[in-house]
Amino acid sequence: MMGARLTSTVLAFLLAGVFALNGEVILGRRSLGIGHWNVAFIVGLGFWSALLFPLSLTMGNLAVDGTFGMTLAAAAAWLLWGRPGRAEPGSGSMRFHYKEWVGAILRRPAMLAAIALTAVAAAVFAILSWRTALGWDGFEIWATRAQMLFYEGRLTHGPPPETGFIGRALRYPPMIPLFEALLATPLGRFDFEWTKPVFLVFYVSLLTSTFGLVRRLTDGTSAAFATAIVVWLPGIATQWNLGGYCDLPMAAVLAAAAGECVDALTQKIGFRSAAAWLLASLTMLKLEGEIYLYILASFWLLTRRLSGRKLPGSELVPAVLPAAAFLLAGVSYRSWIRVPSAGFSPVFGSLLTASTYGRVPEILRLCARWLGDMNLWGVLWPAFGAATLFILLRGSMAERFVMLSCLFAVGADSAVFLFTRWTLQPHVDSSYQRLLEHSAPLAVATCVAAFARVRRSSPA
Amino acid sequence: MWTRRALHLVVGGCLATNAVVGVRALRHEIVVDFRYAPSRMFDAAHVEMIRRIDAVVPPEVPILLVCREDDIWLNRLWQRALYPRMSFVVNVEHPSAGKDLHALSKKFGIGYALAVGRPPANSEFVWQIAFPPLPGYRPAYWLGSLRR
Repeated sequence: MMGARLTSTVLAFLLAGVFALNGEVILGRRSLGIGHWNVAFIVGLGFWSALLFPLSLTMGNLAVDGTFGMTLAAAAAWLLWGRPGRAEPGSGSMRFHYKEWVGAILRRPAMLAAIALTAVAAAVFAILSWRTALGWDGFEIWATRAQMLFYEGRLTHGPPPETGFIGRALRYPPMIPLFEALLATPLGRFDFEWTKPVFLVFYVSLLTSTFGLVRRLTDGTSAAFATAIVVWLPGIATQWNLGGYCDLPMAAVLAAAAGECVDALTQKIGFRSAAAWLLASLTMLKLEGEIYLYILASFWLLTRRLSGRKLPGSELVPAVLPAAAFLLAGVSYRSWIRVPSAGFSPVFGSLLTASTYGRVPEILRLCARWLGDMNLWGVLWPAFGAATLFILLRGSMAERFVMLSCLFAVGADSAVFLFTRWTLQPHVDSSYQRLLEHSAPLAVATCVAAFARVRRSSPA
Repeated sequence: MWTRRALHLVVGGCLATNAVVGVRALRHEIVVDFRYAPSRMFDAAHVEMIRRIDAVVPPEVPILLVCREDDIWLNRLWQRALYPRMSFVVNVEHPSAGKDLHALSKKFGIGYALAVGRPPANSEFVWQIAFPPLPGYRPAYWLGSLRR
């Protein structure tokens, strides 16, 4: 069994590399380090996930195999003939010069300690991930949809509703199932055990995204510590993330998108902006991704305007296109699949009823209980509350962008329970702790940035 | 200077708390995963059952899954094990289980059923024990085919 685990893990990382090369084609750049590779991987996977529905309609049951072939062909073509159209812009913080980095790490014992802590957590996560089977949602939703994709070869309506086979999970976006199904393609059969390494890839992505985000706000040592803090949070390191749930990938992509948005605050944007493609990719993971897209895009626009940087339409319109296309693909798919959302009432109708507002105190109480759950988050969320006040008063524009994005993401994750059709407490208890996971890297980034700023400003 | 020290103290306290919580959670996770958690979705006995069902029921032919409706994990485990063969769940505990079996069998033209535990007596299926029970582990599995 260990051999199969190792083989599937190697294959998952190879496939991630193929997606990264596809991402480079889309972004028109050559990656210079692991941070760029991470962004390119998410962009490549997001692109093919958005294309899966149109391909399913046009290519029929060849859509998944076709996607596999086309990703390989695009990667091969890029390797053979692709030339970097432009040098990679950005803060330079994510460039990876091996000798420079090793030297810097050895000169800074604190950074070495942070990297060692992260490595231990990562090793334990990998071992536990290999050791255990899938959890409830990992098995019954994400891997099952991958199983359907593999056997049907495309997005379908699935078995008749009388089977009760998959239900409302058919509405969910296809990024994780597509990755899992493509991993089974070279194997020639679907094996649930082969889906687990997908989450190891996203674990590495989470490390890289968190480091990249914090590095853009402060120094490398703080970024390394922030990464260590994130991976030692029980909410990230244990339970559902080992069982193949989609929340860890969501956290990774949200952190990566926030990082690229920070860069984009001071740079020209356009159709090939990594920020634009990462924001769009948020919609391909979970339905919450659409909410995060609106939040990040709104605060990015607000921050950029407050910074006084001009944003001409010739830059903004092309940058909006990826998100618009991905949203259109998602909405079209959901209207085609015609599976109602069992969990939530229509938002606008619910806003008109008094019972919706009557739930507010109870929702606040339940959510506050999870935010203060030491066993899952330590003191992260109270610390985030304190850091929020400080960043609001003294933070830079970039720090405020990250803080506000996190604050509103958590707020939106709490507000969705206003519209639940289920019994409130079980619904909050079964899902809120996972929703918090999405924003946890942003919360850690805010805390670390606030600490670094206070430290710089207070006399030694 | 005192503000800097106070800040370091507070941040150190937060980090120490998180370190303790993280180590404790991870230790608990390791113990639980190595002692209790299954390492595969389908264990060897399950794989053998699937192989024997495949030998009897032709591929692509749907099957009725007769078990307790509230045993959701088991139902879905079997449905996924049998996929891409379609499987319809019939609640064995419902008084109308026999009629439900008949109705679904007729509606979808299904000639085979797999029952977890003793199947309903008043059905049109001929049952035989496919897999004997394992004490403390699982009940007997019965494979049924429509009476011709």
